Amino acid sequence: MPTETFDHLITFGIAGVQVPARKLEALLATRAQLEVLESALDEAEPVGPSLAETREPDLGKINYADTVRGEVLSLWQPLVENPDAIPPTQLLARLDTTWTAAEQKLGDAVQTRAAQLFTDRAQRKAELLAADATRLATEQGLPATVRWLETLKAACTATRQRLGRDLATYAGRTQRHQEALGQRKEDWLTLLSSEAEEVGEVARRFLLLAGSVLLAGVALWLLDIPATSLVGLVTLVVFVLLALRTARPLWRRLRLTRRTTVIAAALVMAYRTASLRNLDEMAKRLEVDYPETLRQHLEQLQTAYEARLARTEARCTELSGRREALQATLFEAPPTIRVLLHEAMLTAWYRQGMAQVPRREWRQQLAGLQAAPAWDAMERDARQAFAFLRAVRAEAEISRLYPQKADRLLFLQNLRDAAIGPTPGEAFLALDFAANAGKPPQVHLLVEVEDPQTSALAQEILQAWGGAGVGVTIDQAADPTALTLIGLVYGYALEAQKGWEDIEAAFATVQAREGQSIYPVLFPPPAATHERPAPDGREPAREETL
Amino acid sequence: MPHNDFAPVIPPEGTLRVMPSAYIGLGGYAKAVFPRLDAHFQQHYGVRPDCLPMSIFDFDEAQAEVTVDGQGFSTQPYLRALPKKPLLDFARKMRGKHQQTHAFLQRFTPYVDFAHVQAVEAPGLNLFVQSGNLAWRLVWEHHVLPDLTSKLQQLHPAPHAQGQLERQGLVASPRSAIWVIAGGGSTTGPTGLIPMLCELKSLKPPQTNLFAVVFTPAAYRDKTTHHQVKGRAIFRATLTQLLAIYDGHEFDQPYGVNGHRINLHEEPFDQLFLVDGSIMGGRTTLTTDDLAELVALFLYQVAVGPIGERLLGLIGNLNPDAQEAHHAD
Repeated sequence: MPTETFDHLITFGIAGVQVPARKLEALLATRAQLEVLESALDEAEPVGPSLAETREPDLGKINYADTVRGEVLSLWQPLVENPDAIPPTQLLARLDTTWTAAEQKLGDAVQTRAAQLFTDRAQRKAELLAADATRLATEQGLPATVRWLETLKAACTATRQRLGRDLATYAGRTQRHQEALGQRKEDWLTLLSSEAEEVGEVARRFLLLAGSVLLAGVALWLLDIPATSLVGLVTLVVFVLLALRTARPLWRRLRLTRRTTVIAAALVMAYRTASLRNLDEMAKRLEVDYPETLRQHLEQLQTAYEARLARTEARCTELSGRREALQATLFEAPPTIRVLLHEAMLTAWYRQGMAQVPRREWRQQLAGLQAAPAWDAMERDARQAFAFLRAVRAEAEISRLYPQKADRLLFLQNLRDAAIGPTPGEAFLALDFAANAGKPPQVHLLVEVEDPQTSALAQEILQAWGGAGVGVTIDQAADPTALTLIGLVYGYALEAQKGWEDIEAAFATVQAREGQSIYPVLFPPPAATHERPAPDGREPAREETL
Repeated sequence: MPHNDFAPVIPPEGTLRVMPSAYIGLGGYAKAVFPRLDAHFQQHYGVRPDCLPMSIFDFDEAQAEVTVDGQGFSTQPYLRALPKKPLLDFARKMRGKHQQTHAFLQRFTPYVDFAHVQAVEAPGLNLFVQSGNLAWRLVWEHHVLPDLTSKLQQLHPAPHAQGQLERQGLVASPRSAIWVIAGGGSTTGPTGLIPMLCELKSLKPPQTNLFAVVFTPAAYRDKTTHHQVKGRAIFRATLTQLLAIYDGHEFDQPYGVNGHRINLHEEPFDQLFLVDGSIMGGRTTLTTDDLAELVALFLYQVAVGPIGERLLGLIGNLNPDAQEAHHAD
């Protein structure tokens, strides 16, 4: 095979410097998000109000004296103030009627309404606690909030236990009042029955006395005995004595009426007290349910915060993984690309970007349960905060790193060597210039800078490298965070590749073994081909090898 | 197309340049380059514009993926896995002296050395050159040609598509290019390279430049000795054939089961880039990943910046056809 240079055989080399602006933007944005998220996962002990110190909803104060209790009291009040107004025989029936009316005041509808009040109160209280939790989560973090809610739940449980004990006391007291009421009713009934017997005795005695007086008068008149006679006087005395004896139950009866009044009053009070005790017991029973309802709300709230905590931790893990990956590859680049990055600048850039990050808003999003945190929006905000990194220019960084022109050019010379080789022509293909038909390949260097017209670096490059056998072209960079050198080497012979003798040897070996089958396409025999003459009419430069 | 976390780099004037370019990859090396190139484009533009289409043709359906700044870029959207079944079926029938098969395959005589066609139940073409020679012909019409035609249509956007690009902040260059990226020391790349270049040269618009980037055998540093020796021989044979066409040998061959032929009477490429992954004249070598990244970076720079047009200008000075087209522009 003849050794002949061929202008359409070409190779390239590429070298340059790069400020990894996009990667930095991603890394610092990730770090910023992590910083805020990790602060929301702080494990500090919660400093929050106790359950008793938390705010109460407006309708939380349920006053039975003003509502149901007041109504029940108003039922009993007329009886308590004037029990004598009711005939004793009707008193019990009236008391029972009032009892029934009072019980209706404590009926299912009332109890349901009262229970609803407690439910509403628990709901509103839970809303207030949720607001407190949000505030606490914003200020002290999610774990602290979860622990604070745990303490509130414990307080609810303790309150419920205490109210349970109170309820047992109330029930005992109600039982005692019921027993006392029973006793009063028994006394009253006894009183009423004894009073009826006394009235009959008085009537019977008065009838006897009256009959006796009538008989004695008739007898004195028939016998014509004057009343002033001894017999008449004796008879009168006897009847006076009889009258006195007969009137004795009447006196007792007068005394009995006063006792009836006292017992009636006591009975009325017993009824009223028992009725109110029933009411109080019911209220206490509803009150016992309240901390349990509230605890359930707190449980839901805590579960929601635990879920938020888990999601935030998962996001942290995700961001940490990304941060590690970005950190690990921050300086990663092919050997001919130099990454320009100063640790001091990194710190300064992070501080600059963090000043733009809406940390407070992010914390509020993490703490609020109304909506899931908008991770995508956070990502966008974070990227936006560090978008200024795209304005970092490779040329400026080179000048910052190498303020002296000589140092800059030495640095750039290393890049040039990587793109076209120390001996121009050594790009990404090793060539043996001696095997290149006695002439060196053509070499051209394309240099990308931010602005070829104003770039001082471009001028320095042209002054240093122009007119040295290498064509130099300065052009505008597509990405100003990078400075790129592209070397083109063309016009070399196929056989000028280093190691060509190994290629020829391998070809000879395989062709000897496999014949024409080593060719990826086979041409028909030469007679069948229509060889195309060269444009200038000469024979083709290369001989067909098959 | 994967979602891109990065906002595009908008220059102060508010527009981004793009030189419409089609990227055609053949075989495994393209799978190392294209995801990185795709990542560069997506980071630069937000999404890869339609006028930068990509296709990888490979007889190995394995996907490749790279992670750039925590984001994965896969070959999945543009890998065209070519079926090996037709090759396996024909190889089996040829071994069985199947009359109809032999009659059918006559259309590829004398372009394929059937005695050396071997097929194994493994991904790829396994350094059996004639298997590759036949395999491409069996799948070309249905699996390769339609994709090429479609991709080339995106190179020169219609006026309404130009307007749409401008609304997206993109300014498309009047120049365009097709890049074929192939390994030179394996099977799929070398056996597909010549018909691909010839087909593209016939199909492409006249003002579009056609380049090939071929990885020389020295780039296959991690392969076995057997692979390297066979790869060198294949590389030498491939370039011999390719340069023969460049020097005037007509390429007129059947590439299709329904009579499709690739016919070219001119140079099959404008420039052939050879890379072996060495730098400083071979004193240092690049890893496969680094070389793939640098090739991707080079292709990216050419497509996104003014340097691409400058490069075409330089290369145009070498290429009379391109020069004429440039003047015509």
